[in-house]
Amino acid sequence: MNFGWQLLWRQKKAVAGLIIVTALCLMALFAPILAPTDPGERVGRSHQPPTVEHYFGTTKMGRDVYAQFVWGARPSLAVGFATGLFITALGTIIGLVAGYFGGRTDATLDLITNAVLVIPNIPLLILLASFAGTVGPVAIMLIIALTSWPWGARMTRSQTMALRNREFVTAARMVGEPAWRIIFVEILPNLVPLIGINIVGSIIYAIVAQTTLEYLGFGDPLNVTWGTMLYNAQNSSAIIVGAWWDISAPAAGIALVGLGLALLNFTFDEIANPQLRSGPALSRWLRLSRLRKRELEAAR
Amino acid sequence: MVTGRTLSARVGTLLLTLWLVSILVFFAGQVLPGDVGRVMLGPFADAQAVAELNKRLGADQPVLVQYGRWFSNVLTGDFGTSLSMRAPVAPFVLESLKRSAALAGIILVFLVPLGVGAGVIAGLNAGRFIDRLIVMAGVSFGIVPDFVSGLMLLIVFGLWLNWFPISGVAPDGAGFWTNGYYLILPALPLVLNLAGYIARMTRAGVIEAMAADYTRTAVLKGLERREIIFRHVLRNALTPTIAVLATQTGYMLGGLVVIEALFGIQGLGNLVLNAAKARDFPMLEAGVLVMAAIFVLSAAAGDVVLALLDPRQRRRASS
Repeated sequence: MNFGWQLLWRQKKAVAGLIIVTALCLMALFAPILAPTDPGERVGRSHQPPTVEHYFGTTKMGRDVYAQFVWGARPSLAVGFATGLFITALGTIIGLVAGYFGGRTDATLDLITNAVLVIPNIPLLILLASFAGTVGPVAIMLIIALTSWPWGARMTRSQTMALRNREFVTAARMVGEPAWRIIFVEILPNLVPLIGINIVGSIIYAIVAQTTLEYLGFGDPLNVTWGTMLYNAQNSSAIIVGAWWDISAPAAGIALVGLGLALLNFTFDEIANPQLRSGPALSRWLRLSRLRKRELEAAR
Repeated sequence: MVTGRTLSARVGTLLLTLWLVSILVFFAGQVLPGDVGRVMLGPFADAQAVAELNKRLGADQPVLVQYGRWFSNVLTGDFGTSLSMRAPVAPFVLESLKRSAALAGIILVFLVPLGVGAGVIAGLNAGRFIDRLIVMAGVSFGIVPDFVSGLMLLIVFGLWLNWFPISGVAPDGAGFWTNGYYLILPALPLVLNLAGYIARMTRAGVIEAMAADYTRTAVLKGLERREIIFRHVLRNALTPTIAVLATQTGYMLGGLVVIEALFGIQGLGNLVLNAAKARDFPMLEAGVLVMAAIFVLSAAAGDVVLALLDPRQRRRASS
């Protein structure tokens, strides 16, 4: 454990990512202290540029963009994190079952995985969201999770297939352990690095997908989130009147969260996959070649 | 005929997936609440009128019967009648497909040189400052959702600098170049978004090829650096990139929905979006199905090109 922390600490990228994500989470957590005003309250004139009173300016409805930004972080992050965990759980279970049982179970699950994988995600999200009608955060969460588990399922499946015939699994089977115990107690712990990558990637995806849906107008416009902030800004023609602050604040929030999580994932990737750290091979060969030439000349 | 057999197997799975997608698309509309007659007549219509309309449209029949009829119609190119336009769906889909294809074309024109070029530079300088810069830039741009970068680009280049129009639609009768000029700003968010990923794949390919034994041999037998890079490294490094480019088309289609909405381009993405908002099921189903078909076809095309370029893939697929 200690070693793992040291490894994480040495990675500057991971530390930077961790700081960004933690700061945003703290901001969401302490929203009542940081922005005591109600984000839905009209506090000023329409489309006021940033001032000392309203750090991020006001929206068309005269609402404080700063308060909306701080409060909007709450649902955006909460739904993103919850959905990311849900996607990972779904993908991991399906991948484990398909990979462990093989045969017809695997063939069926693999076919479904591929079918869900080939439908471009956003159109499918729109399709489901439109049929579900005006959707709350839980419905958005379910829709995103149901359309985006295949990536994780594929990775987990191939890893499980590699582990299935290892000695310790065979031994457990010989002893007579039930299948669920073999899957969750013997195989699952070996997949922890993979699951970590999967969780972070899924959270990024979930946040992006959720804000995209809300931006396109499938969320509840009265619910203050970063996505609906963008939707409302776009609908109140913020671009045409030049109210850049109305758009920049939520956009920066989404970009920052994504950047922080991506930095974290980068490091997870490198820990799980040392090949990514490879140095410049060609220059090594060229150096070798120069050395050899020099030695040959010296010998002559 | 090794490639012949691979090709026919490929076509088989392709048709099977398309069929599965059609089921998924159709049943997604049936399982979830949303009554066709109710949608057309509005929330205040008489319940009997709704039931009558459902009967006339065949929406009161069992789901399987409906699917059978819809699917056999789709096979003959008949995607049904739009509920909101009261006209056949197919011409709308075709027209919007053309606009989306123009945008996709512009995206590729920028994306391929940028992504591959950056990836090759990063790969050849792996571990150095320029490599880290390219990788970090790629990740940063890749993580920003396309509508966010699209909005920012609109503000900076459309509003402040006034370099580009803030709409993606050129005035009627505009020439080829003007049309292209209007599409540059809409294309940029997706180019930025995808270039990082393609650069990363290219970089990995270049690094792998440079560490390979044949490159070492080429160096040690005294070939020139330029010759090594162009004849030995790049030829081997770029095959995976081609496959990645093909599969990214699907991602691009998803991104087009948002970009088209942002810039007001009436393409396939906007068609799906508007159909979803108007609950125009036949239009929506046709749009999503066409998108899925393009995605599956481009992935398959990527596989075929890969098999043509890399003999190892051919052998693996046929065994």
